[in-house]
Amino acid sequence: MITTKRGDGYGLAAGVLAALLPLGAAWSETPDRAQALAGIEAAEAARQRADSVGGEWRDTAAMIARARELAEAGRYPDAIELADQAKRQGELGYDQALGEQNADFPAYVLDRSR
Amino acid sequence: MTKHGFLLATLVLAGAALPIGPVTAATPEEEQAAFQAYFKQRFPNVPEDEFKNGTYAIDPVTRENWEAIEEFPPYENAISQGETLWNTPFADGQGYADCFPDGPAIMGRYPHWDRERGLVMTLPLALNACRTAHGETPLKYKKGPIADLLAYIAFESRGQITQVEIPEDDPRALAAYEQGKRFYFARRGQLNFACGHCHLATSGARLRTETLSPAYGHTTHWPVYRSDWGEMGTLHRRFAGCNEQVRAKAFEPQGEEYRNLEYFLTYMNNGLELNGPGARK
Repeated sequence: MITTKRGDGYGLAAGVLAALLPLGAAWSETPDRAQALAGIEAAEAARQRADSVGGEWRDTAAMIARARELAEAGRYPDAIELADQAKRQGELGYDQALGEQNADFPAYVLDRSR
Repeated sequence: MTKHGFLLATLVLAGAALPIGPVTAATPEEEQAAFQAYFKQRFPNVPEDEFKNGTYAIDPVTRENWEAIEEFPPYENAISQGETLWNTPFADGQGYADCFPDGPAIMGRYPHWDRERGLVMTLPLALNACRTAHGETPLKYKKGPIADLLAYIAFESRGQITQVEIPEDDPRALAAYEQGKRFYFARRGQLNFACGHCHLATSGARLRTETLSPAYGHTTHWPVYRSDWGEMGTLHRRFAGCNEQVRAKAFEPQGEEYRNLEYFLTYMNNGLELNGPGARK
């Protein structure tokens, strides 16, 4: 390669770059601001859905607020992780509230008197 | 596992082991009888008229401390301040006595079903309705002046008997009772606990240094000076605190959820003497 003509060297460099480009693209897929904001928006939607049936959990709103702070600080992976947890809380709270809408006296209380 | 983690795991397992689910339909009267019978069977050595004292009816050690506290009650200032508020005229020259001519000993009339408004009327709601009718700003519902007013009214009402009615000719009242009941037995929050999990089958059990109080007696002694708060607070403040303890978002004090809950829970306590204001840990 040392004796290779200059033109051939350019060709090789271009080939190497071409080979590395897909890899480079994969490295650049770290979460960005838009992804973080989308995650937060999804979490907020889940929180509101849980709240609409009285099933919101205590910490969900605070988690979303913290995720916003992290996103503002540029800590997008952390923001997304927290937003995902908040979203899951919203989903679980919604399901919980729907599942409990017919809650009633437990049998161990009512049956004793019969 | 940390101590805290172990405690949480224990609670969750305990909750899972105590299913609260629907059983065959019963009338409010049947449910009240079953509720009261349950606690009498669970604590056979506690005289019925002692349940109004909450945990102190079932735990002799904490009762000793409580009796010592009651020698110089921490709620006395609230009673005095409440009396002053009661007797201070509004800007229009009227006062609480004009809204409640039989007052101040009116605690035993609340909560009740308000047919005209179509809702459960609690005493704090009625007090604020009086204020707004006379051009005054409503008081906040968790603590402060409302708790002082309630302390004075409760003190003057001592000895009255809990006697909540569910009028049979207004199905909305029964619906409010049912909603309050569902709230009481619904699991909620990240810990997946219902009110009933702590205050029925595990009442009397230890939660760290605390003894879980029986639900029978929960509504007799409000407002309360809680050492944990370092001040007076209302029943709905406590509801909110309990919800947050199971990591659920609390509801608004005097909102429909808590008023219906109060209606159900007070109905369960029918027959017990009112002995507020109280002191609790």
